[in-house]
Order: sequence, then C-alpha cells, then structure tokens
Amino acid sequence: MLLELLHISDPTLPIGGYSHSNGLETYIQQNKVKDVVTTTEFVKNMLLYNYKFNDGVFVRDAFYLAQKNDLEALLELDNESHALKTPMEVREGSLKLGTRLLKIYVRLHDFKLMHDFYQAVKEKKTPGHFSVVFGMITALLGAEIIDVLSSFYYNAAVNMVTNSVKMVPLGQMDGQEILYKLHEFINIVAHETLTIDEEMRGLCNPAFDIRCMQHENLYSRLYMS
Amino acid sequence: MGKYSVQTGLYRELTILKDTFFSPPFNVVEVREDKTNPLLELMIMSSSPGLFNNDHYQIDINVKKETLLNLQTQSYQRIYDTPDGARQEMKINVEDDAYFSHLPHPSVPHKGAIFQNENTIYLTNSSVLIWGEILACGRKLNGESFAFKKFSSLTKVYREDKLFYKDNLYLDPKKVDFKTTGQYEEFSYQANFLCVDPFHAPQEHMDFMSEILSEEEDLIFGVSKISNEACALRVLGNSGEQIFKALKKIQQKLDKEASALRRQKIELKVQ
Repeated sequence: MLLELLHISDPTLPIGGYSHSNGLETYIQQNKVKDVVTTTEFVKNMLLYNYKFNDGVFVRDAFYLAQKNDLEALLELDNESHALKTPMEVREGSLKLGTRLLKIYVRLHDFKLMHDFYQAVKEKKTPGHFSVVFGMITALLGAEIIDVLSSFYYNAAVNMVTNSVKMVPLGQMDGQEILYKLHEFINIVAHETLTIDEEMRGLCNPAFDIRCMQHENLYSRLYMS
Repeated sequence: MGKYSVQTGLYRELTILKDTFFSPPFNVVEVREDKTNPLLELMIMSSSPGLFNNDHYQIDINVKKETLLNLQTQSYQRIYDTPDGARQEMKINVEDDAYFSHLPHPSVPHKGAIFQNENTIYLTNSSVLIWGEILACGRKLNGESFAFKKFSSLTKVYREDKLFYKDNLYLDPKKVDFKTTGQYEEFSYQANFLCVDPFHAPQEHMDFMSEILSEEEDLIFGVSKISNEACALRVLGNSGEQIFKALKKIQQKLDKEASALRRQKIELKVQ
C-alpha cells in the first residue's frame, strides 16, 4: 500500500501538477511571497484554510463514497466541487489533473466504479475534479483515509515548495527545510480534515481567490494558474 | 419572525408588483421613477436598526416569467450583539426570461454578533441573476475589527435544479486568522458579485467590472469566468461605501441594459 500511495502522490506523475501554481505566481510577482518566511506562511495557509476545507474534504468524502460504491453521490460531490471553484484557472487545472489521473488508472485497474466514473467524465455528465478522483481511486486501492489525506497534502505541499524554489527563488536546501518542517503540520491538517465543522465546508478564501483570478491577466506567466 | 415576500407580474409588458406580504419590521415600496421602465424597482424598508438576539428573517422572492426586478435595501444591515444568534433565509426563484438584480448594502456584524444567512436561488437556463454581497469586518472605527463571534453566509445557485454556484463566506475569528495571507490580509471588507446571464458573453461583463474597479484605490479585485454564461467578481477593500458605490455602478448598468433589451422586444412585438 505504501508504494501505491507513493505512486499516486508522486509530484512527477505525468498529470501536470507542477504546471499549476494556484495563485502563488501572482503572490510572487506582487512581491508578497519573497523569502522562506513568506513562502512557509503561504504553503501553511493554503493547507490549513484552503485545502482542508475544500479539496481535502472532497478527497475525504470521495474516499468514503467509493468505499460504499455510491456512484450517484460521487457525481453529486464532483458537481459540488465544481460549483465552489470560482477562479477559472483553478477550476480548469483541477479538471485537467483529475482527468489525467483517471486516464492513468483506468489502464492499471478494472475497478467498475472508477470505469463508470470515467465514462461519466467522457460523456460530460460530470466534470472530473482531481480531489474527487484521488479520493475515489485511493479508496478502491484499499488505502487508509489518514494516509490518503497525508499523501494528498504532501503532494500539494511539494508542488507549492518546488514552484517557490523556482520562482521566488529560494535555495534548494531552503525548499527541503520548509518541506521537512511541514511533516507534523500536514499530519495535523490531515487529522483535522476528518472532523471539520461541516458549516465550514467549501470555505471561501477571499485573497487566495482574488490572486488566482488576477493570474489570468499577469503580464508574464510561467504557470497555468 | 420578520418576513417579506414579493411576486412579480406583467401588466402591458411592464413588470408590476403582483403580490407582496410583509410583517414588521419590513415594508416593501416601489421606487421606480420612470413609469415606462419595464424593470420594477422595489425597496425593502425596515423600521428596525438591525438584527437583534434571536431575530429570524424569512424572505421569498418570485420573479415570474418575462419579468424584470431590481430589489434594493435602504441601509446597512447591522447585526448587534446576539449571544444566541440571528438568522436570515432568502429564497429566490427566477423564471424563464426573467431578470433579477440585488445588491444589498454591506452587512456589519457588531461586537458579539452571531449571524447565519442562507441564500438559495433557483434559475432556469434563460433567467438572469445579478447578485452582490458586501461584508464588513465590524465597526472598524469603534475598534471592533473582527470582534463579532461568527458570521456565515452560504449562497447556493441552482440552474434547472442543478447546483451551479456555491459560495461559503464563513467567518469565525476564533478559527481563522483574518489578517493572514489568503484571507483578508490588510483589508477589512469583502465583496462578491455574480452575473449569470445567458444573453451576454461573460467577457463583456468582466471587462466592464474591471474597468470600474480599476478606477478605485486601496482595494484589490479579481474577475473570472464561471461558465460560458456566468462570471464572478471578488473584492477586498477598506471602505464599504466605496465598494458599494462601485458595485452599484455595475448593477445599474446591467439593469439599464436589461430594460433596453426588453423595450426592444416590446417594440418588435408591437410591429
């Protein structure tokens, strides 16, 4: 199981995770994320306030619904994820990652639920968001929820730190230090995801959303979001 | 419990207030100045200075087929110290070829306020929704920045009964550090503005919104396409009045366009 989770959360998995910055590029161009301290704050706040109440919750719920083999509820969850993602680039990025992840795994496994979900994506009956696909596949692989959430957040953290190292720029060692020190934090956020206050589900993060929207009009862009 | 309901109707191609019900503190008043304007403009008057402990408002709006409605508020919505909370529920139904715009004054949760608001909006594929929401951090000048206990506003928009847009403004200063990166940062007001309009390309609205907000100082904003028929705007700023005025310009322009489009249709029918 460890290898399954290492594989699916590997940042070099060819689904294009590394080409999305989810607003980080805007923060860097506006000189708001500029060093180790501000990068760490960005990554932590993304995990604590954005991922935990949005994509993390969708990973969690997709995981449980896949365990129950409930395709209809998974499609509804996927639609809810779509309705909550207001910035276009973030929404489209999540769809690209989700669809590519599906394409990899439908070749590797014959889980009926996953193939039915993939069919619904192909027929445009459901959008196919990354978090929902990730939660569904890891449940079908038989992983434990807490490990799934930890690997999902770790994957997100690696992408954010790698992008910061390139763009801020930071030293390679600084990047590794930020990432290593996040281990306990990721563990806490993963546990908190299991018991969030449901009223906070889909929490709006206004400044993150605005920076993601502003990214559409940046003068020069290396990333797709 | 304070309640009001509004149902529009058509009389000789003009939208009229077909039916309304209100209980204290509310009163529904028509404020349309140009009596030939096909768009009905209503104002909700309230005899209460705001929401008090255990207040519960219920609002029902029915914008019937081919009618146009702009619903206005009279003043800022204040939520006082409400140890047991205050609630508001708004249900809106916009039928085929109907238009609804609503940009209430900013909400101001005072120290100790607990407020839960839920907006549920049903659209069809041919209805238009122009929807704004502005939230203050509290009475900033009285030193009450984020001194409320909880403010939650959940908006769900359905198109043909399918969830299309969901926005969860949930502010609990104990749970979220609002000054930090990604939240309010150095700002104290948040605004969201949504246009669902199958009759115009979202880019047209986005360009106009950007033009209006680019003229303003001391705020940040972003606009983005939600679908081929919808777009959204988010703003963070430091003055409720400034944001309200800027968004009002956008809403009024869209109201005028909707009226003009309806006048053209009426003329075509007459010919």
